Amino acid sequence: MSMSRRSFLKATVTTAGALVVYVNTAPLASAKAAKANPMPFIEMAPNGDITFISSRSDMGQGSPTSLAQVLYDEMDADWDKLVAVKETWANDISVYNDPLGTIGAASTFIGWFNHREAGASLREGFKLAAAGLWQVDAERLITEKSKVIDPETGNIFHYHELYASLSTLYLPKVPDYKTREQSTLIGKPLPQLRSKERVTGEAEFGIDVTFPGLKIALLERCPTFGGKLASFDAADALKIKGVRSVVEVENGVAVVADGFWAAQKGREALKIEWDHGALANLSSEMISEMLKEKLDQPVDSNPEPGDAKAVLAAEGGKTLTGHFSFPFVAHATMEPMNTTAWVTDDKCEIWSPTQSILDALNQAAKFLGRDKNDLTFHRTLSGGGFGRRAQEDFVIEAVDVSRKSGYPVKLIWTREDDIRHDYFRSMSEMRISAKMNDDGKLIAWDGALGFIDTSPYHFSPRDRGTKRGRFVGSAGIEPAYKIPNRYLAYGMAELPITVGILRGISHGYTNFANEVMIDRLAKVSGRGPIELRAELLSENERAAIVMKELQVINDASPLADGMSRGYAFAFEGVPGRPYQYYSGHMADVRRLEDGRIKVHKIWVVADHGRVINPQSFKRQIHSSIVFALSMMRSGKITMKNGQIEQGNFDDYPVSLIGEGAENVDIKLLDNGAHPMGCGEKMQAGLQPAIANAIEGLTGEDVTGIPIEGLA
Amino acid sequence: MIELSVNGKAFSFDGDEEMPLLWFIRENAELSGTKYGCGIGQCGACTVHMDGEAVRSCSIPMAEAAGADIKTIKNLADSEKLHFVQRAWIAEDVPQCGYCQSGQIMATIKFLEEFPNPSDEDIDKYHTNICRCGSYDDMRRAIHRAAKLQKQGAAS
Repeated sequence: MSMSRRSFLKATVTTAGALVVYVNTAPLASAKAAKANPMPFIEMAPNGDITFISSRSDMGQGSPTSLAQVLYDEMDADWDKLVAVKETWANDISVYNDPLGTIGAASTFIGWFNHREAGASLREGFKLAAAGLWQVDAERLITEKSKVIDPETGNIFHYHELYASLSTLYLPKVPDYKTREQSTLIGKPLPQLRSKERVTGEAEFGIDVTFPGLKIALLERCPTFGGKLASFDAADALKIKGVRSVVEVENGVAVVADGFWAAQKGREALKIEWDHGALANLSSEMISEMLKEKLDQPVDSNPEPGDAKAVLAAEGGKTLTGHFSFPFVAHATMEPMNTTAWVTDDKCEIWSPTQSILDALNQAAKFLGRDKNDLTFHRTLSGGGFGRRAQEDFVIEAVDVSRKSGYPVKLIWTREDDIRHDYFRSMSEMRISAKMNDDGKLIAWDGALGFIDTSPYHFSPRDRGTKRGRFVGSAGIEPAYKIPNRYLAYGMAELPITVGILRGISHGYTNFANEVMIDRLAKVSGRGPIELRAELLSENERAAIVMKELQVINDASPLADGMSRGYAFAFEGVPGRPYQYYSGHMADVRRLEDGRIKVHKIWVVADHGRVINPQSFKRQIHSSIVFALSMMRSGKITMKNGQIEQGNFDDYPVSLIGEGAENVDIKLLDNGAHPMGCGEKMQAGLQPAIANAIEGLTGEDVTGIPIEGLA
Repeated sequence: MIELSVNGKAFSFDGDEEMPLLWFIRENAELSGTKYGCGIGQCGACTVHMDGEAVRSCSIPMAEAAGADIKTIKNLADSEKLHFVQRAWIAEDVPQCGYCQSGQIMATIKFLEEFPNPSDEDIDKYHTNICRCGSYDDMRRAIHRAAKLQKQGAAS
């Protein structure tokens, strides 16, 4: 057999006698393969139990369950023997051919490559091991439910009987994957893993990390963006019983205490002078004006195809211009930011609910000036994420406080800290002018966007300060629609305000504006809103099918009295590449007796490729509706004097149980295309569909979010 | 000195009487299933039962908890069997991140004692714990399912 890099050479034995199995899934003979180490996928106990090692952060989005389904399916492992889930680990940025970041649709998108390959490799590995022991041709063996079977002799090996042979095996090629018909777990609506520990209070989140000697720290950060510490007096704080230490760190002044309450009392007792800096008079209104000016001061533009400006300026047809404004939006994860760090002279151990384990590890090592291999990083469960935990700021702060104070510390953010020092979705302004000709064709589109430069704060350190770092603020400005004359441009305000990624990134505002405009253009020219979209998407097969399905649903669902209906389309990617998804959205709204507007029903048609777990996928859509409505009803963070005005759920309310949609209807096209997650992807389509329905109900233009009177 | 009982175990506390009960539960009694979410009684992640009432422990100072009998999420299940509300939660596959679910379940138990046949309107009005994952549609079904289990005497 010819040698290849596909080997199980990193099968290691734990103290409990379990075998940890690593597989390298880097493309053969690639530069990546040379650097990458095999990645751990499973831990197999001597009795046949298999623990799934989750490469992705578990923050409620369901991907650990889906990825386990992919792996176990290809591996032909017995799902009933999946007894536990363990978080992955790492101590070097280049370890695996997988960045481990839990962002976008990365979990499912990347998992479909490497979990399928690892599963199939393991399945073939077990077959080869059995074939060697039986001295038969591996080709004739079959596998099912953690067993290798020789149909000719009836002999059976359980996988765990073959563990010892795995470490020496090499695979000559990437094994064949199962066909859809052969799949036993992929596509099944299996319940979420780890539910039991989540209803018994046993689940351990970052904030629950504890060990003897651990102290609690709270950090007072400069309330003004762009400001810094001038001086402080810790005398009163140190008098509080239980306060152990007060230290100045890069982001402010930290109080280290025996418990949360002492730390909080100590923090309240600090006397701090801040140098409030250049933004000390800045307000949301001022930022909004700045961003409006940026609409005509682009830093990047795409004037093609055609000449949109000339066509818009010419006589004839119907031209509409829409202006949209969006506020800062905060994540407000249920579990506020926190991290536990223990920095000693030669080691650093970190426990954190992070979405970006490798970036956080790397940045912590850099911060300390130490070798990455001197750090140990334990990723914990996350109480929600929504993109906030992709940043490493809360990890570095804890490391800083531990290093300066000498204590192992759990740095806890209060809810107020969490809201006021968020990496907000940027404020933004959108202006779109578009023209329908007299034949009802969309012939020109001029889209302009203004936002706060996201690049300095980009979650990925590699992209900070680069053009790539602006993607999360500008993505989605380009509609999928075929328009003969199109001009797109964005301008940015350079402000020292932490802006970042929030569930759906900029699509939440760009696609919002685009889709509200499309409904208006359809209306002004007497076109059907789905039919117009379908026409403009006719060259994109998958998108066109989604629109066709939405049309079928629309036609079968007559509008009831008192209801108003809106539509939207959302997408990412381009035909020909695996990273693509398309969704069609329809919303009915009505007036309640008290005058408020209620979302009566949401329909979603989704083509996110093959669906790994339909139950989990649908759950994410239901959740996304609740999240979208929170944002549309009250998701507004404002700034005054360079400081955030809100701080908790009383002034930044979020959806309660009765504040979702009254009815939800989901159609998953579940075709054979590359699977995509959907945790964050629905925001782009849900909100404009609802907004369009509201425009129809009120007869007034929606100008962004929040929208007043939304129940 | 404040004396209180948490999950049937006697504790005494001689610290700051203004300290919220939540931190006593999490740090002194080492019962981390009860969560911190807001500190102002808005989100309900810290919900526990105090003398038979559902309370938001982040807003109960220790002075008020003197002599109280506190029950947390970790007192619900015996080693053999989960509480019927927990079972309903698993049957409807409610938890996403799970962070708020201890509080949701503790709140639901008391809600169902008061509203054994809850309507959707009752749930909307009186079940006010926040779930940022938005597991509400599954949770509503789980509340109705738990109400049925309660009626069937599964509580015993």
